[in-house]
Amino acid sequence: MAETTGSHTGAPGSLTGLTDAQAQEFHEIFTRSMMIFIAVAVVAHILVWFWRPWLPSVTGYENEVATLMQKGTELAQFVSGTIV
Amino acid sequence: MWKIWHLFDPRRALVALFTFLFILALLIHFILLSTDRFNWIEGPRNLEVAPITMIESGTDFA
Repeated sequence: MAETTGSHTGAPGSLTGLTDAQAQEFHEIFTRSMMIFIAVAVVAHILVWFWRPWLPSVTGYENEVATLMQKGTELAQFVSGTIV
Repeated sequence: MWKIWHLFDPRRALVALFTFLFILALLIHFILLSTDRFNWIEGPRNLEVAPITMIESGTDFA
């Protein structure tokens, strides 16, 4: 009655039965692993951004190939006299 | 912060986290594969390049 709910193996106040030392040890490893995972993810996102950024402007993505094709077509039409 | 492990069982928390993260990663990768811009394997589907055919057909300079 004096202790709050916890494991019958000790560690008063602990719902999981871990002692303070165990919880802190696990937390250390968990935090370090999580940071490494996030670092890898951040690097991957940076690389993908340089490959293809994913936040387009209002008019959409600037599509270099399509613009070149369009400009090339206009130039060809101009040269051949179709466009003035 | 570490006292969270007094609240949640580390084993179950880890299993749940790994499952959730794996499914989320799978979902996002498949969504990207289904797009034109972010498909990193074959690129955009249905590459109909009309402008090229226009340039190629314009050969009579008479």
